[in-house]
Amino acid sequence: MSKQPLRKSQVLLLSLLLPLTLTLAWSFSATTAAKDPPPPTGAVAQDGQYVGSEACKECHEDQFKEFSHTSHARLTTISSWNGKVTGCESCHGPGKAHIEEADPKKIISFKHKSAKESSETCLTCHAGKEEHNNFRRGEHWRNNVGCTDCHSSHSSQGGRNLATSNTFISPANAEKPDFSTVSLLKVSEPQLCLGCHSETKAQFTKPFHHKVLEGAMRCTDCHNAHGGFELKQARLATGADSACMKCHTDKQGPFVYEHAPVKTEGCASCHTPHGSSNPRLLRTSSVAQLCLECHSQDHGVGALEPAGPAHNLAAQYRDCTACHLKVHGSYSSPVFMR
Amino acid sequence: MMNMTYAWRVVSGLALICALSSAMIQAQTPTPSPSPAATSTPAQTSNDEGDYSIVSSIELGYRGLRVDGDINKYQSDLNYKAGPRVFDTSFLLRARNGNGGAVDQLLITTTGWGADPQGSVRFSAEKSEWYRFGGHYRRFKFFRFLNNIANPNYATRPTDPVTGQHGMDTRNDVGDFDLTLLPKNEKLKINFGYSPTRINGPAYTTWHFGGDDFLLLSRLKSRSHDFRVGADWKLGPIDFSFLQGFRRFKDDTTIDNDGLNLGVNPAANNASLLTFHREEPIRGSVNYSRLSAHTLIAKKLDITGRIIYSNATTDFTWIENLSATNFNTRISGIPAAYNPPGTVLTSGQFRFVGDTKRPNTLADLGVTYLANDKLRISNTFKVETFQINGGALYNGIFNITRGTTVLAPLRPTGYSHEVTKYRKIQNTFEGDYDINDRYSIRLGYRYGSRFIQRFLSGHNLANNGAPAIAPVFEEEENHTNAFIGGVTAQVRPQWTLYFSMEKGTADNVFTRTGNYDYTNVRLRSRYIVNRDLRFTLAFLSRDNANPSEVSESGSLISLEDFGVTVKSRAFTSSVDWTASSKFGLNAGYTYNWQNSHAIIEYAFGPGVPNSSIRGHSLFFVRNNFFFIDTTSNPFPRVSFFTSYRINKDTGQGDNRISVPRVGTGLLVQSYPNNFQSAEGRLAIKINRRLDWNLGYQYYSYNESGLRRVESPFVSIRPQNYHAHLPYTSLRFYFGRKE
Repeated sequence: MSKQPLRKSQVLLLSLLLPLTLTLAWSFSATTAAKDPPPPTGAVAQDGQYVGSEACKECHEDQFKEFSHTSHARLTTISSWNGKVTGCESCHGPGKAHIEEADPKKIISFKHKSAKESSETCLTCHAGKEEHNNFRRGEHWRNNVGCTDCHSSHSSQGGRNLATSNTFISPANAEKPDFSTVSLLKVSEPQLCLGCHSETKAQFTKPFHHKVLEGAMRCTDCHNAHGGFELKQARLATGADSACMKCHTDKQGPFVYEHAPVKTEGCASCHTPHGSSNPRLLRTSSVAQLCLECHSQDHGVGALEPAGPAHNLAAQYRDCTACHLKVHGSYSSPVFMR
Repeated sequence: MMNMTYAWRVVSGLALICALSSAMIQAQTPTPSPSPAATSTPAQTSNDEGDYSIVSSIELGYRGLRVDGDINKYQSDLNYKAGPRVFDTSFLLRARNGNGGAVDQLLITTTGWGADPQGSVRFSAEKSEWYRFGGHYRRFKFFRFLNNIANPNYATRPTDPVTGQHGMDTRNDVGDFDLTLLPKNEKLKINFGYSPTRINGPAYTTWHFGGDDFLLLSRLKSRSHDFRVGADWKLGPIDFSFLQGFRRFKDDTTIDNDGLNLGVNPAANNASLLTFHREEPIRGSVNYSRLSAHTLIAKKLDITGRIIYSNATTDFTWIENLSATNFNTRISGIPAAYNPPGTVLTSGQFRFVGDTKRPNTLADLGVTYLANDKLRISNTFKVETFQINGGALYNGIFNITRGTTVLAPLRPTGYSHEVTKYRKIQNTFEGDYDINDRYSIRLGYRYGSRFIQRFLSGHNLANNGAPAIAPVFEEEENHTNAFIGGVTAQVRPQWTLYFSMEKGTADNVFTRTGNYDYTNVRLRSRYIVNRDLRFTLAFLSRDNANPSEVSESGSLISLEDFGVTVKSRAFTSSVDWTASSKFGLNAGYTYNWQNSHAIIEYAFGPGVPNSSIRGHSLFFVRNNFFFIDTTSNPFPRVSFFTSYRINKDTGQGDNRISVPRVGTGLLVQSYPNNFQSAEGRLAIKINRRLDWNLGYQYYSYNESGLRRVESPFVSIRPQNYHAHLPYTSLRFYFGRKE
């Protein structure tokens, strides 16, 4: 590599400056805003301030009806939750004062809470799950996209099953429920994700694409929307392998001769995972061009010893994978010939 | 090619049957009087069956198909077939009071079975106190028979209409099944999982042998079974999760060629295969463990740790038997004394046995300090190591006859051993600060260090003679730094802007095309006017450069540019508008611009031995995507869906393509093409239990703009097609109420 990293002194300086800046910002930040009491989910309901969900039903019948079908509501029937606060008050706090005084301010409302504040209520219970462990470091959280931007804790899809696409999966509705109903999503996948990440819709409608819009795959098959340690919040398969290996098991190896980038750089070095005009979701339309960009004859640039003997680039040999067909890895050929 | 006339006839017949059945059903059902209330109120759903309510529907129908143009390209892109189809189904059963007998809630959905190339079934069953069972099974029918990838036949046999060298017609089955015991228990949950995958079907492969390339038919057959068991538990303030997995993999792909195979170069004095048979049974396993822990201390300090260890192994035995004619010294390792013409490889056998191991450890630690309600600081540390340790033994036997003389058999042997070691360390430090209720900023810094080492010894098994090689030892290490920044602004209560920027050096730099110096910028705008109107805009920019330099040939001091730059810009916009209960619209436009430029150097062989050409590789994308979907409900019983989508890549305009050649060194590529589809569907509510649907879908693909002068990378003939897919279906409802 001809590139030089930053000098140690620069790294040290930056490492000091950044925490210093953040600490200063912290010291200037105001913390005086009045806060609601912490969400009481799971707390022991000894406090006489809790009145139970049936009391809420008197005024909030629609919400109660929808909520009663959710897995949140079923906590009341589970023995290990006996004696603990469940139902409406597990998120909205004790309701006695709210009912007695008919004062909207005497109950926790999420209408004017920030995404992070609202999410803390959900995380009271859900943070302990492996799936959600990194939510407080995830891209959505950092961008103020909270739980309730995607989930609706006490509503299910309404509407009728109107005419829709023949091949693309349609969102759930009251007549055609799907898994968004179970996960309490506001809208089904992939429509939910495409609502913000609309650029991926273009990729998923190219001639070659993963079958996400068709309903055979979901965005969350490969990405963890709740955050994660991997780049792009990608999931892992079989321990520490990339998510692609979950289905493309024949590329998993280990091979005697591995094409190193498959494991070290990831599949996206050569493929565009969402969709492409190029067969095999390749980044370029010609195999030779893709290969030559690493495997030029000058050694020491990028790939380890990429150049082989002088190649005959007569027409029939210009598509590299005609001969080097085991390009992901081979058990018998160090140059992936079979 | 199917009989289209027949298909049309069947479609027409089925449409008639559907119409008649609908009329009959309608005749037997009292017709509710349409009223304004019925149109404006969302349909009330569910049938009450004892303690349960049920909402269910199933859509059955038939699709016709007519394809004009390249049927192989159509099938490679879409692969929808004519025939009966189960469009989609859903079945939801719920305990009315939330607490059922064996199940509180059961959901089954399916989509795309029958004449569709991809189908899926998902189901979920839950008894909240005791278990939750979820499953997802998918089937994909892949078809590939194309003229533009790995298909150099077009250079030598351009008139051959069907020469997709790596064509396939396979079926992939993938499943995920997970059972959680005590899913709502705070203290302990137990998890079991099973994920099978299966790949089956015929596929063409190629083999370069004797100076020729042979197209061989293989039968793919691979299976894997992934079993998982684990538990989530809480101990004091810490939540733990443990998973132990076992994947078992086997591949029994075979290749058979029992007839004369002339190869890509069919000249009389070139090598030909008489028989060929390959078996390469592979057995693999991955045992993996994952332990993670999470806690929140004093509601201030969020700590998550995770460690994963996996050990992957493969064992293989490879046997390849063949007989051939006119093989020559271009079969590497064969002495010149065995020169053609007239040389017959009476029998040849390649045998390889070996195994490979890949232990892999990955550890992560994330800490977030919620300093106050405005400031959050987090640090994420990652370390990963793996080692690939593979070895193979080779044993060949070649019995050769020249004329009437039987030559002494050749018995080459060899071995090869390759070890790759890898280590990665990465640390990311970030801070988020809310300036006020509407504005927040974030800053971060990432440091990465990577080390890779490769060692190769033994014999060159790419050579049939397996000559010994000098041991190869290479290693490389790099250190990278990146800075991260971003702003989130809620400009108005309904309008939020997200801006983020990342600049630095990436950690995936062992490939030249990988990002090295990179600058990524993202700007997203989300404007939710109200529940019925929403706008999304985004601009994404990525500049990746790997400004490498090399010593100029013949000089040790002069450095020469050998860099790669990849730039992409994407603009995307969409609008969701529910104008009224009778009309909704979803439309969007996305433009993707990409320029890739790499300095390359390659050899150009025939007639110019050992010539090395320095040049440029350029790749361009100029893709425009537009879509519009509308749903209208003009009458109480009638709804109508229309859609139009187009992906149009204009490439870089003229001079669209060039090939490696002597003198120029310029390799320019893009893929101008136009892929569009239009769709219409009419749904008529016959009664509360039945809808009748009638639809039509059109696809068009055109790559005529791709210049075909001197290019072996694309076919002489454009792979254009038009596809017409009319269909009709009935959707039956259970639990639907007026």
